[in-house]
Amino acid sequence: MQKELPLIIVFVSGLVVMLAKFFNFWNLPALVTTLDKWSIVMSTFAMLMGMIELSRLHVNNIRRRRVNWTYSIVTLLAIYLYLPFVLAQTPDGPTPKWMVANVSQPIGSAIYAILGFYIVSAAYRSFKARNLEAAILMIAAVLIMLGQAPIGETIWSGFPKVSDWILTVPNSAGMRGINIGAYIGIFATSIRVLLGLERSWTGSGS
Amino acid sequence: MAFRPVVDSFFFQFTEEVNALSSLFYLAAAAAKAPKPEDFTPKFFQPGMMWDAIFVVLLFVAIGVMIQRARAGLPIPAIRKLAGLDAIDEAIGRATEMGRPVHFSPGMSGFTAVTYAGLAVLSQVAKKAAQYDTRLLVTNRQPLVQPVAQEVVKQAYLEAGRPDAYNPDDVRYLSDAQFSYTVAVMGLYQREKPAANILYGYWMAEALILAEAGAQTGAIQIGANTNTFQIHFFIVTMDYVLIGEEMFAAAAYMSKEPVLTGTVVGQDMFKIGIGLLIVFGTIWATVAGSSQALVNFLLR
Repeated sequence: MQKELPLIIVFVSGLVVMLAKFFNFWNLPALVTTLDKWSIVMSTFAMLMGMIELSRLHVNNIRRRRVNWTYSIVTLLAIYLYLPFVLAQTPDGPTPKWMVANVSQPIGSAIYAILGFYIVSAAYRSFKARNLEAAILMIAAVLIMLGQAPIGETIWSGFPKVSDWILTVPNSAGMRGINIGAYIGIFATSIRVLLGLERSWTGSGS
Repeated sequence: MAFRPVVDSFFFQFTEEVNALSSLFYLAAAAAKAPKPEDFTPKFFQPGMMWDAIFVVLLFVAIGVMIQRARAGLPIPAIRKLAGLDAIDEAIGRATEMGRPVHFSPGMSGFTAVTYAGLAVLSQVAKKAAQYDTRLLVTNRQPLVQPVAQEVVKQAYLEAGRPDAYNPDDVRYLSDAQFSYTVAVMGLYQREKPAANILYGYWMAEALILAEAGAQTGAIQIGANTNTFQIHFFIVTMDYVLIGEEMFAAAAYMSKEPVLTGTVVGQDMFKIGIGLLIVFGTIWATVAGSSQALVNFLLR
């Protein structure tokens, strides 16, 4: 029953949500709203479980003096220093807001900024015309860059037009093709999960 | 946990975006869904959902026919070779030889069809890792996915006959914040030096950061992503990449189960039908000089 119950829940709730998309009897849309609310409640409890799980792992790291255990202290401090201020002042209180604005956001921005350097290093490694596909990739990338950067237009006024054509015609066509395949795949996977054909997620193998 | 995948997969992603299969159908569906001010009476059928319903029924039929053929032992087409999935064995073998761990992540999204596909691969990866006695590190961004991933890995170790090798601390929830998770995984790359890095799920702005940081540690990298705005980052930084629907064929491809293979063949038949429809619409629009007549027909 431990394995079958999740399958039954998925099938019934999935069927209700799907029917509500097409039919309007038995007040199905309201039932779906209720299911969505349950989902939010479960997500909230899962967050608490995640916090406990994270704390357990890092407390064990510290207790057993595992490699780099000092980082675990920083992680635990980050979690539990913030918590009392939120409980006392709500997340919109001055201290939690200050902590988010002056600690969390700058760190997040710094990590996001790394992207710029990684794009350069990825481009350096990848843009080598080792075969036909790599050559097409490289030529397309160079044309796009020249079309987007002001220097490209200075060299030749046609670069922005070429760049736009690549983006709107072959690029869009490729992306739509991938999307069509992906959405059909998503739908087919959903059917497999709904019908209980794919059950590796229950921990019972494929 | 139970109904999120259905909500996400069926309705936010499929019904909204599959309408973009061709611009003709997108226009038709958008026009049909436009509210009509004089019509306030609740209807038995939801208005503007006819084409969605037809697509759903056709896909069900295509998959159902192939499942029946597979169950009856009738021949069904085989799934073509997917280098990314074949490379998983090679990647785990390499990690075993080097005595270094394998890292796996089922992506950034909550319980969607993409995550289910990732968990199916995780099950196979964990089984192989257990057989080869290689350490497997699994990181999760979503707290909802964490207990399920733990259960999948635990069961895989059990099926491989190595329940003693399972370490719950190696299946980790890191953070639900996008870049906190990213930094935590980058730290893990530096500390644990995984020899194989498998990123199998839905990835956003962190895609390049994770893939490039993985490449810098020298790991053999396998990626799968459905996000067309990020997939090119995987292509330029990873050794093997599964694009679009390839990632959803993993469970059938790796398990060789005929019924699951039948569902993949069914979905491909449906895709061929959609392709023919797009070709038909393109020819129509080219010959007629406008797609308006076809749109009008679809709206009738």
